[in-house]
Amino acid sequence: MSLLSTHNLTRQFGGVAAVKGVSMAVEPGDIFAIIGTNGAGKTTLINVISGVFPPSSGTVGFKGADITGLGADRVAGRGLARTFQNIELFEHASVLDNLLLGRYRHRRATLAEELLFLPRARKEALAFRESVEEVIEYLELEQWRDSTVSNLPYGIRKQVELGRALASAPELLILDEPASGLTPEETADLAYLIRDMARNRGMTVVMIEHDMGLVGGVADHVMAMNSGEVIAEGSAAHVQSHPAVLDCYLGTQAA
Amino acid sequence: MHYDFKTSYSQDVGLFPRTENRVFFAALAVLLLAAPLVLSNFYITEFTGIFIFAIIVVGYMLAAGMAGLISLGHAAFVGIGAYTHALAVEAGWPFLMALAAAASVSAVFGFVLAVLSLRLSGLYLGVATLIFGLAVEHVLTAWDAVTGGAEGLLVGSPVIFGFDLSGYTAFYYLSLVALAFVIWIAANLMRSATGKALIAIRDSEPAAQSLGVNLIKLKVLAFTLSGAVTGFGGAFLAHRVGFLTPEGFNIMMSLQIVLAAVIGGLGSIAGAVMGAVLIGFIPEIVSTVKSVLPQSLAYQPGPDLLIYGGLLAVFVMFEPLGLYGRWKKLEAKLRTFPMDRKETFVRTRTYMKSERAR
Repeated sequence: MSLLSTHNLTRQFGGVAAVKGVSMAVEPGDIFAIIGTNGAGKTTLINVISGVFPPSSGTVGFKGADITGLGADRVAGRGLARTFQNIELFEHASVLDNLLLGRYRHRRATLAEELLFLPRARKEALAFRESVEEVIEYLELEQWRDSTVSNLPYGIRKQVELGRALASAPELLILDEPASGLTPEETADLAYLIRDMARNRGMTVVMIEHDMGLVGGVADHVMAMNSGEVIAEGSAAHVQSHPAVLDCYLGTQAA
Repeated sequence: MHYDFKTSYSQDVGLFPRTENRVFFAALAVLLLAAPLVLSNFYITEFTGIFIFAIIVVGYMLAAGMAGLISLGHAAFVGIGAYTHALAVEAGWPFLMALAAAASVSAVFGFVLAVLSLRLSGLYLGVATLIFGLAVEHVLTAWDAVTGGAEGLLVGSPVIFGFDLSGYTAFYYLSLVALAFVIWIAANLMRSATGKALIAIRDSEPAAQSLGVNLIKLKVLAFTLSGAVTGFGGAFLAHRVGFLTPEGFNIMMSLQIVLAAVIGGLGSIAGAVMGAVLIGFIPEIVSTVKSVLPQSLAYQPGPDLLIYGGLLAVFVMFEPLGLYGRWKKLEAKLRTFPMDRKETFVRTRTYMKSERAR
């Protein structure tokens, strides 16, 4: 059974249909890449999936349950984590605090326990701190642990945002342009991380990406979009040579 | 740059990350506990007032500094707390129960205000809370059957388990304990998941939501807690002033609270206390300065306002992080002395390792 599936998903903004009847299925353990030109509706699609706004019509299924129209916080609570295209970090907090927020959905202590810092709240704080350290080690963020995010360089911020999503121990990780603005070395590191997360850490990854080197290198399944519709689907090689894809990237003569 | 050598996660979870912090707070505690032995009654009362104001500013900080919900009407919560407490004491409730009532009633008002203004943020929220402050002040005046209206309300003595604590020294200690309790509660909140979620909704709502934070719930919680703590401070203020009138909780007080929080440094509990101390001492400083000024200048109206405005301008221009930010820099300087560099806090570009290699 698919981990994530959408059926005829449509999202309209006034008269503009940003996403038109998209049906997709992401299998557990897959690396699923979404490509497409600017304005193809990729980000809108994942915004609808992750509950930032409800679809105009169609359904979203996650882990066998219908999550259509659930708020972003409730979708996150079910084990779906995401990053944003224009990094959304907590700027005035330390890297550590940012990552600790990733653990938010796992908290069990009640407010009263937290206010009095009773044993359960203390134990939870320590456990969160420990699991966050694993993420720090995994992404090699040790050096930046106590730095305030607003002072960090772009590449590190991207890492922190990825780390925050990882800290929530998601089953499905959605990355919105994870390689944009990264140097080739950083992109190579990222490719390794994405593969490792899917192959060895039991995560399923959906990513929007323009870097075809990265997509071709790691994706099991590629979906191309144009004007809100799916135009091609399959392996990276298949999609890259698909006439409709060539058409929308390079113009009609190329096809 | 200085890095702490940490050997246990509890160092990141504990209230005092370093030994120096422990020593500092222990010394501060001893000083404050011993202070009444050497201070005159005037200064004891003065200090008590500052402790109480610090409680109020910490309460304000929970909403404004942590959750980013700027309120311009927090004096209303102080007033609600003060009047509730005074009325409960008058009705013969024991002190601690009256205190709990004051905190609960202000919490309820915080809750209601939050629900009413959920859709607002930033300046709009500020205006809504400003109106709330004015409305509460007006109700306190108009509802004279209960509050005594403009004629005021006499506040009874704080009596705990049969001990009258209205003496200068006794009330000093009582307020000190209350402040320590409030700081402890606030610090506990901020090291727990819920407190960090408040920071999350301040800095990025979409990101907070994508991590499972329920924005509405957390905003309401921030205002409710903030109202409770501020009202708690109001209850103490009632005893400090001894006689309540609605004008005591006007917009000037709201602005003083905002000012203390901004000057202290938004987003930190220590900053709230530092700001409260500075703002709390201003009337004292003003009267000292007045005594050396020539008569014609000393009796001009409004020097306080000038100083408040001036302070705010100076801080916004030269130290937006407030007293707490200044303190952090001083601390870092002392820590690295004599290897400290002026450039440490100049914002520079930091490079990725791959960029450096080139």
